[in-house]
Amino acid sequence: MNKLSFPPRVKPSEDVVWRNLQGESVLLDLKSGVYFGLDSVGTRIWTLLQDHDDLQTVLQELLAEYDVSEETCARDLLELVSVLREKGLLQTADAT
Amino acid sequence: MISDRVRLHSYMEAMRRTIKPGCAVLDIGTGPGIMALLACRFGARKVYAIEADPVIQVAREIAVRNGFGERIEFIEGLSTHIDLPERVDVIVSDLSGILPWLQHHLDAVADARRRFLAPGGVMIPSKHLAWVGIVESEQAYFDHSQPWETGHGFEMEPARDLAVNSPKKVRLQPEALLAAAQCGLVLDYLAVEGPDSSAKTTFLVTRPGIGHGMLVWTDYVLTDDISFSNAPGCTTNIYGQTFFPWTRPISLEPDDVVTISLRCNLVADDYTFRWSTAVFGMGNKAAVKYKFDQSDFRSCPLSPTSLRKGAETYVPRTNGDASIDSFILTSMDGTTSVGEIAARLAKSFPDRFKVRSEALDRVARVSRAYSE
Repeated sequence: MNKLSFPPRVKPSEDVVWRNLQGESVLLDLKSGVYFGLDSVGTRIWTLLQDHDDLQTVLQELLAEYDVSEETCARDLLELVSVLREKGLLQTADAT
Repeated sequence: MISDRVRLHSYMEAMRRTIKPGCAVLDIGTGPGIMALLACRFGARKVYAIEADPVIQVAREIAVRNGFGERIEFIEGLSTHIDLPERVDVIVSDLSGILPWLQHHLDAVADARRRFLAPGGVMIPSKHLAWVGIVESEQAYFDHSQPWETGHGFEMEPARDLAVNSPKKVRLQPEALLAAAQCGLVLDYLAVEGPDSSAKTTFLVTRPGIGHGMLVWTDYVLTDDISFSNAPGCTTNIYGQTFFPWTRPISLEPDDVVTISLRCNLVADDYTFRWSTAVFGMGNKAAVKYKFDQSDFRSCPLSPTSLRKGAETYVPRTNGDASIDSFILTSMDGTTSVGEIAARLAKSFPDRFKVRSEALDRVARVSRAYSE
């Protein structure tokens, strides 16, 4: 178990459409019309968030794929999730 | 419009019944001015005809030839950037396309109603009804994706992905429908406020078939008793319907339940459509047969470099073209002609402008965009 506490379950906002571009991805917030870019690791996390709203599951998937310590991985995951939530690209999973 | 008999005759009749002698009319997007002319013919005291396209010059000439040069005031520009000297009794517009979500149509109509319509005034059209159906149409689908299905032995999935996220204009017949169509949304122009819309529809499949996608069409309600439609099977006019393909063709059985969520968001100057589809076998919510989440955001080739330059965090640095445009803008001081600016430009950037006409074209383009 990592030492960081995860926020509630999250899921991609219904206001976001996205597409993969050569391993990276572009997110478009339909409400604001603003584009966001994710690098390859961010894209992998975003893709996992399409299927999993539990960040622990996402973390375990990442640990299985990348050569990284659990602490570093959890911190990076939380950092990205925090940014995405702040920008309204992620919402809590139980919100409508 | 003038070549579309159904549409023109419907508008004519709606205007004939609505416009009273002495009233003031606003025609947004007048084009060559046909509706402004009709308003005069039906007794309008004054018509304000707004058009951003240079075709407005043709409209002016036509108005003069028909003796309405004084009654019609043509205003070049966008209605959202213009003020009128009075409120009007009727606002008429024909700014939508196959669907109501076309560029700034909804914003323009809502803005005009708020700023220009007199109390008790009439909007023509009064409403747009967006209808949604699920359809079987191999032709509509494979017109989209066929070139990328085979690929002549090459893996063409990226191109196919673009194709199946591209809505397209079609003309389907009622036989294509796999379930009763649903009215997904009513846009009431006496009430509509913003450009964005969403609709959720649920269909009970009534016949077995291969579902290829969603079909959306519009009922154009001009007044309470005059309307026309581009529904499957209706009289052909220049509009068709819009086909939103699914990611792949799917097998549907009677009593399958299909839910579709359609979102239409104005992003910059054009709409982005998102259509999310879920199919439940025999109506069992636990038995999801198919699930697609699509958007025409995925339908056009995008350049990562170009997108990156528009990102919030990108720190831009000017290129050579910026120096040229900056030179031109600085030279537009209210006393120097386009020709004179072009001559100076060619002299200052000899490597970019080998002949004077190239410099003149460049200055003219900037002048059109930024001069009063």
